[in-house]
Amino acid sequence: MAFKDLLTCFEKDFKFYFQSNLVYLAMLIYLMLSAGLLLYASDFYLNTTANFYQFFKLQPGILAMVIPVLTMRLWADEYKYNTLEILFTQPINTAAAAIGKFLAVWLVVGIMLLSSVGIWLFVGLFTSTDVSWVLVNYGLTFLMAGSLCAVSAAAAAFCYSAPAAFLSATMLCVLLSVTGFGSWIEEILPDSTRLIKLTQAFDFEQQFDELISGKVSLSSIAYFVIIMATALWTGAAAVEYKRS
Amino acid sequence: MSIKGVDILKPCLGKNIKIGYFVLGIVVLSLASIAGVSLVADGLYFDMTPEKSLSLSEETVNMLQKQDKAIVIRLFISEKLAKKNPELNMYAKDVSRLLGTYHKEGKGLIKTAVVEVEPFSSSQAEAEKAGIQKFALSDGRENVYLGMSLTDERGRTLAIPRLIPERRDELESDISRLISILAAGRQPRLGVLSPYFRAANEKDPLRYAENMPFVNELSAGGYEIVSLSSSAPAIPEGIDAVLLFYPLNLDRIAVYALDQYLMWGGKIMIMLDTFAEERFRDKEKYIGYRSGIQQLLNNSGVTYREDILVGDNANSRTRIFDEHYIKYPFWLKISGDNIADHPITRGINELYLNYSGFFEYVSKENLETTVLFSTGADSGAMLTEKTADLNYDNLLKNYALTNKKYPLALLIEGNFSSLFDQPLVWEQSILSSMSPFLKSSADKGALLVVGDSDMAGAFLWDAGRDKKHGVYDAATISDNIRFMLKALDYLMQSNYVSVSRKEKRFEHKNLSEVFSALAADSYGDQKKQITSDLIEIRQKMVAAGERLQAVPLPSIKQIKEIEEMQRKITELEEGLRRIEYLTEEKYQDYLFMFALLMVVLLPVLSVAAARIGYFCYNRYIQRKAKEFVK
Amino acid sequence: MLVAKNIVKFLGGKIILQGLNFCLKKGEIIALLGPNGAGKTTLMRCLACFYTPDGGEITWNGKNLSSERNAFFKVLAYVPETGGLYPDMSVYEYMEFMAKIKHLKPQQFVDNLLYLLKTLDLESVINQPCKTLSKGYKKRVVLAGALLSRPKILILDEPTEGLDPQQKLGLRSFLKQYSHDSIVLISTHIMEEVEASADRVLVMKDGRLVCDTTPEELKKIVPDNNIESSFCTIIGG
Repeated sequence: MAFKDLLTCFEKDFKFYFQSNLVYLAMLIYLMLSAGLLLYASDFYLNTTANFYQFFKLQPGILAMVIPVLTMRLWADEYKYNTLEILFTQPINTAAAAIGKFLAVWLVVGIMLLSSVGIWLFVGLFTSTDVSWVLVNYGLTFLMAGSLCAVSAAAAAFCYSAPAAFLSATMLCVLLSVTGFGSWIEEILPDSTRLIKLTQAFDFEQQFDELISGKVSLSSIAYFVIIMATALWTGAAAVEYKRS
Repeated sequence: MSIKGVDILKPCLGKNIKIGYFVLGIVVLSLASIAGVSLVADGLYFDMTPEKSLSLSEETVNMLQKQDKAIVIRLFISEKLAKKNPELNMYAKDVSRLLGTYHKEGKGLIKTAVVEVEPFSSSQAEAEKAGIQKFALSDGRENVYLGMSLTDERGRTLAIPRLIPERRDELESDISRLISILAAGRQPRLGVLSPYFRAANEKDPLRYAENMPFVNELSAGGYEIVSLSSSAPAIPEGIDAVLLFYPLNLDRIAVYALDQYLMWGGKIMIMLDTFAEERFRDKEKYIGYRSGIQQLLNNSGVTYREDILVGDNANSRTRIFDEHYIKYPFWLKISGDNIADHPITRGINELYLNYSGFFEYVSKENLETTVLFSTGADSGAMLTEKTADLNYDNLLKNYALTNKKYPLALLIEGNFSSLFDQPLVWEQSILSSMSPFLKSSADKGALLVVGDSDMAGAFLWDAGRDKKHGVYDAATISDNIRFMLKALDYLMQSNYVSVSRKEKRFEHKNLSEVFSALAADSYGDQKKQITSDLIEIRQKMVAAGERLQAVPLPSIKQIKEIEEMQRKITELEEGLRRIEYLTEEKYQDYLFMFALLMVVLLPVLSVAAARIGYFCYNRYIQRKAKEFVK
Repeated sequence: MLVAKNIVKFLGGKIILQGLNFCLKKGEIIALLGPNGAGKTTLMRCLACFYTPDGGEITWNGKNLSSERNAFFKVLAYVPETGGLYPDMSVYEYMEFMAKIKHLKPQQFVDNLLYLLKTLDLESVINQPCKTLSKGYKKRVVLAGALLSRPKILILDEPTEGLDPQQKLGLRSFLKQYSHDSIVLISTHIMEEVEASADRVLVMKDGRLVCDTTPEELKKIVPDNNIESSFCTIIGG
């Protein structure tokens, strides 16, 4: 039954995005940022890569700003419209609701990513790209986006209002995705190779970079899955805590 | 989420556990999991790159499995590289990843480290000591390092002084070769015997090597090159293989030395040439060729036809010859089925030869002969002496199709028998320092003969090479030099026969190139017309100038004619400049249109499509609800 | 039978419910009265299992709610004082969502929805987004959503707030009818409503239950037989 509840919550939240126009705005911002930064903030014209590397490289930064727009109302609206009381006085548990909501955002982000396929196909009209590699990179970006969605949803679960949720989620996502703290440690303690290697294992940017550069390692995939699981658990715990 | 009816969140959410502690707890738990997984799953990955640039070849893996020496590989990277040259920095990352693969496959014996080189620091001194070459970035201001050193347990260091992306395909081969040399404990020694080298007693016997850049490539590949004297009766001890390059009237004593070297299990590679372009570059008159090695070859069942050039229209390169744009039969381009499947030729796709001779061979007892590559079936031939006065008409007259397949390189392996019945040297003092004379092989030897020494000529394999960079800078090396390296590796029976990435790199064009080409195409015809007009009028101008010089006093008509031509030239040049400007403008227009479509139109269309999709779904739901009420 | 034993609840470091004991039986409409801040909503949320009590226990037919939570949710419906609707959903989508979340079978959903649409007069707004509905309609939609599963326990926080007199009358008669084989707990400030529909009255003050009686008995507390005066007397106004 828990899975059915999860699906019901997922379906409700997924529909919500398309009903509220929020997703269209986020999609427009996302696509414009992706295309704009790709053309003007990378060396894409001069160094068009077979794996569409520059495009994927930009994704953590862009998604870190777009995903909080999608997740900010995830729990805040439940508080605002008093629907949380309706939801949690039904035979459904907190984790199912939290995961359902997360899956809804994740799928919306997936659709957003899918809509960017147009950019790739358009570029493909002029220069060739390695289709299988690009498709795998899309899959890996979806995985990375999942971890940002989970972190963002967890931040939203701690907040009662949408602006607070947006700010905290953006802060967390940007901190996580854009700041390569592995390189900080490398700069501060250049001689401690083991520590550098260990911190690099926690470096979001580096892990994603490895993946999209063609090294699809088990540890990088596990990294994003663990972040996702941790954030989901934290988010569900936050809701349960606030409820009790 | 519940497991067997028990809410898994519950135990963690006891009343006394504060949410802060709980969050901290699971964050610590997840960090520990990430660290644990990164330790456990270190080296477990799929290589998604089309060139499999993160995987090692079978040859390398085998070599690493066999070798048992601890080797430390240091990658030296200047910290400025990341900011100043992203392309090089990206390449450095790829190299670093490949080193990770070596570490993974190296049974724990290969250790890798990245050394960030900072100016005036111990790291810079370390880089310099390891032989890493500094080079200037494109702005010319900063000197940076990007190289690699390999050090064994005994502190012996070999280096790749400079890593360049153009040599990406050879990277694995370069690293593996150096590892294999360190593992063997000594550098392979190659004795080179060639009239291009000075006599061994001179101070710098390899001075002429600068005319034969393959020597540099072999040195960079870890070979110790020793120049051999053509008057010595024996090949010195400790030579792993001999390269006889373009033998010319070779002394009998040298033939004797080579013969006995073979008897003792030596390996010899001979590159012959009936018409060595390197030699005739300075327009020396062709006077015929005599290698002096024929007898030794005949003794192994091989004859080299020094008087005949082979040609093959089907497997040749195109050139303008006496104003005729033709497939020039003597500029051979050997590929496909004409290259045998042999460890030496595996991975070799195209070989270039210029004016090659060919071999005839008969089977000899105890010897195995393999044709490594040959011409195609529809080949032809011409007497070499006809090259003395070769033009288009003579070519048509003298070159005859024979429809034969000519072997161009042979490998003869096995137990050879000596060309000589008795020792050629009798002086006791010399004999005592030599191995005893053998009539038949004491050990299996190998003889590799190639019909064209131009194969190793710089003009055939290092085209496009930027000479400024120093020793290890042969950028895109061709299959010709790769063939030499592999052949020598094979002959020396080293534990690693070099390989190059056989997979074709993914070919694609930059967008700026595409738009430039599109823009250039728009005015292509006009530009072509103006350029040809310009050439024509300039030729006329030169002719008119010559006419003018021929007469003591030019007529007014002649002067006016020249003035008119000059005006026309200026006009056409102006036209060319205008077209260039228009092309640039068109290029900018294309960029703008492309950006507009990408940044505005595509996003709006995508969003509209999503909105329409939802609108349709909504209509469906409304209809469903209406029907329900009805 | 829903039994509350010594219910204690803290919120934000303050004690909101201080050891409440009562028992609710089938066939009753129980009115929960009390001044603002008395703890009515908190009590209702505890009974609806939205809050977990910090002390005491609530049992349904002898079974503890904390261990039988999911089974209890199947027979419970709670309607909050305000909100409770997803504004962008249409009424039909909302009903569909509630049916799914309550694990109703399709036929059950169809039958119950048709009945509720007719009874609560919602047919005309079935395709309208919830945010465009009037306050009265919104209240009825939330109520319809709650009643979809025909719950045995119906907890309504201020159910007639915002309804016009006609709608109030309609709702009262509906609840009267519904309470025949269910427990209906309503919280209200409107004494007229208590008189009109409640079978029993629970009066709360500062987190304590100060009176558990019938409306008739409550009226008798003051000489003028006025329920409002009685209520004021009890809560010390």
